[in-house]
Amino acid sequence: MKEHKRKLLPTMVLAGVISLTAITSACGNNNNAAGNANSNASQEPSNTAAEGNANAGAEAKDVKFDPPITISYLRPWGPDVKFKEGEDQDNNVHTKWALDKFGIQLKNQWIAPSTNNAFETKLRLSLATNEKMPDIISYRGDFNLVRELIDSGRFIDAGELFDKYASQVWKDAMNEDPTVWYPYMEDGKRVGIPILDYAYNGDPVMWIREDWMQKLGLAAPKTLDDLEKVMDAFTNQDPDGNGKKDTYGLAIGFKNWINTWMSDAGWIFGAYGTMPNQWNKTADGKLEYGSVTEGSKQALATLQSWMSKGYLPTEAGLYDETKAAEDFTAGKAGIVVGPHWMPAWPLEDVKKNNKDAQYKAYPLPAGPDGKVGRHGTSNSNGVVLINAEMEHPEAFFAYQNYLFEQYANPQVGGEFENGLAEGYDWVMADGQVKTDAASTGGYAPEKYTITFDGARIPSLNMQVLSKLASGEEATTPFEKKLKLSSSQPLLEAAKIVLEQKDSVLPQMFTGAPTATMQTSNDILAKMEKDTFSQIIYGKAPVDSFDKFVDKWKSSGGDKITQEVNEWYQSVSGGTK
Amino acid sequence: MKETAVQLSTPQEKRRAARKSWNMKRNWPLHMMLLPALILVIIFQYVPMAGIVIAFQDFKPFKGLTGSEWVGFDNFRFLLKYPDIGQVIWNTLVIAFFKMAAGLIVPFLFAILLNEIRLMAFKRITQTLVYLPHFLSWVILGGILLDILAPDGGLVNKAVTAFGFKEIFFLGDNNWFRFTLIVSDVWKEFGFGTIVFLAALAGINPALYEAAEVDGASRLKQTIHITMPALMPITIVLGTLSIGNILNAGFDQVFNLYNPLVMEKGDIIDTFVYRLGILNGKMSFATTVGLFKSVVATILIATSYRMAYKFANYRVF
Repeated sequence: MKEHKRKLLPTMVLAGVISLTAITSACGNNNNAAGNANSNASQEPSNTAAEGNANAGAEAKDVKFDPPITISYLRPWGPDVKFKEGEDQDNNVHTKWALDKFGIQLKNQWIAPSTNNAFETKLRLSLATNEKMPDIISYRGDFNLVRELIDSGRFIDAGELFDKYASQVWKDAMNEDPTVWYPYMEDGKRVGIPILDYAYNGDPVMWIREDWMQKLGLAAPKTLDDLEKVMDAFTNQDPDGNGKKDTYGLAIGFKNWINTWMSDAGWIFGAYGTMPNQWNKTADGKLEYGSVTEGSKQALATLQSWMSKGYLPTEAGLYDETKAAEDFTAGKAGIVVGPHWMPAWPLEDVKKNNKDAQYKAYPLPAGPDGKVGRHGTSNSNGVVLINAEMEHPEAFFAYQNYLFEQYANPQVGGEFENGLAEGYDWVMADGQVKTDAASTGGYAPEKYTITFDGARIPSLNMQVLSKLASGEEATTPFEKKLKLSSSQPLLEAAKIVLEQKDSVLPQMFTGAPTATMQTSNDILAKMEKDTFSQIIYGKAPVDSFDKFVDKWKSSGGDKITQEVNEWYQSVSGGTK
Repeated sequence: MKETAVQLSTPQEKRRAARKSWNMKRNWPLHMMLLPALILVIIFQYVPMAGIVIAFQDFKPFKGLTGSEWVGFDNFRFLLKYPDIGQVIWNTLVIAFFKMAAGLIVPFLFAILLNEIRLMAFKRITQTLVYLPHFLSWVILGGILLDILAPDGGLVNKAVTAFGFKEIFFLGDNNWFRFTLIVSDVWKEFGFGTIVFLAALAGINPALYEAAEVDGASRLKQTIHITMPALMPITIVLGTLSIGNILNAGFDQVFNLYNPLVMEKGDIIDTFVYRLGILNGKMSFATTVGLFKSVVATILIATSYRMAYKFANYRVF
């Protein structure tokens, strides 16, 4: 008996170890899935400069450090960054430029790729082991990591530095939407400078099979009622002419979320004045969760009737964003809603399946009260954190200011008129400037910069696209560059995106998950997804929505609403 | 240790001690060869176990293992009080149990059937074909199954409607989802499981069959009285080992196939931990569940080991 026991013990330990390893490895499977769903706030570009010292400082220009100083930094290096033979992250055309121009030596503290969370893991480890932090961390990705970094208290109130050293161009770009600061606010301090990205980049338009519309003699839908007629025709009148009833109206996929980045259905809720799965601002300046509003109930009723009439794919609940869009490109669905860049991917594939296929962008239709609503896109895609112990923070601003002034919207005759570096993103061939990948080899030196893309002015991209769509001549270097790379449907879509910009319902909550969110988010999300899909599939009556709302509120929803509003008060300073 | 200290008296004991040291002297290279593996196990299996303490902390990465606040059993309390946890554990048990049972029975029967086939070429080809799916990942199979099982126009549903039934929404119906999980898992893995049984079959002494034939036993009788008993030990080994997995219902598979429509019946512990622990950044909680699962698995393995010994008089180790 005793011997028996002794033999059992190692067995048990071993078994325990094995199963533990299995769990940890299962958890290693990671986490970007949700990121896309939370498209953030976007607002009309406002020209109101931030109060106070808009023109203070900003004279960090033409600084050159002699002897050169070193900025140590960290950023994830994505697989999209390509180096020439003999160059690497610490030694390339851009670091040489920074050294020559400013006397700044850019030095990665260590290098880790962005894939498989290698960067996050390494950074978390060095945080845990109390290693010295670099002067600057530039990061986009897991928001939890950003909060951990901010909570560690090792980074300085970057907002103050920004007010002091940033140039006007950069400040204007930032002020297009001041809410970009909100995620990085801590006790009224702006820890972390948002990295700006092009605005409206993820805002949806409605893509329709133009050839089907013409064949069936349909007009562009302006309201949900019009749309219903179009969908009915696409479903029942055999638009692809193969004699089979194998087509349907609208491709949506809500395996992840109903308000999402492609194959979106959020705009249907928008037509009823709300936006699910995000925090909307109400008329009295409070924030409310869109999925539990009256508008959502109406939208769900609409979706239910569409599903029962066969306008939606039977498998909408199983499709993710990409899979649903495949139904459009496969010629099964006639409508899909998604960003203006969809012609670049995946819409063009529809022509592979049917060379006569045509598609065109249309404005989102209005609801019964004439309302149109869509989700927005954040003007920011990452953050720069500055170490409290950094010796020369002004050096970073000098560097970034210059990129904003010279590179974000380059001037004719400016240093970056043709691109960032000759021989990389542009070459001279036969006396002409060439920027296409075939001549340059596809090098992108802006990806060598600290902030991933050099410098971007949010409103610029869409404004230029829209301008080009109306047939105006491309004059500035930026306009010329965009014109070369954009197809006509894409330009038209961009124009529509801008025309409908007042319909944006921005995600107002961009802070860290609140205390109750951390414990209750999953159960609430599960409840919401379950109720929504049961209603859409007609397995539950529309009125079960009311029960869901009650349960949502009592299971933590009310508490979260309160916390979210407290957060909003704290970051917006109580202004409406 | 004691043995060497005590004066060696009888010649027998002397001889034994001498042989022992001689063994060591002669076999030390073999023992040394074991060392790297041992070190690896210690570094990668035992040392990380220290991380279990996270389960009793409110773990904050920048504070590390030593700096995070201790919360005792709070995480466990949170786990047990979680409103959905009962359903999630039940789902896991049901799915895992049926996968285990089917994963044992199907290869067992299939191996016996395959063994009866005389045409070598056919046997080999079948064997290869059925174990091929084992090498496909669930990410790929997830996409394939979505198409094959589609209610309108999917291969399987075409067959179903051809027999006059209504099409079935395999991946979107709470009543069918678990069934789909189990069958697709068995389909993917039974070929691989068959190999083990075939190996055991090859080890049966042919003399037994010859003797049975002389005694006038039919093929069926031979199978029941010779083949099946011969396969029993390996079946018990596999069964015992798999019981430890009763709380693993297959993260890869469920994660790639589940969706809002079948959350109720399809959500298992691992997917739940993934959402809460990874997506919502509650590392302590994820570790808590991991530890919980390990403890349950350890108890189950120990019990099944005992039962295998008691009832089948068989020892795995």
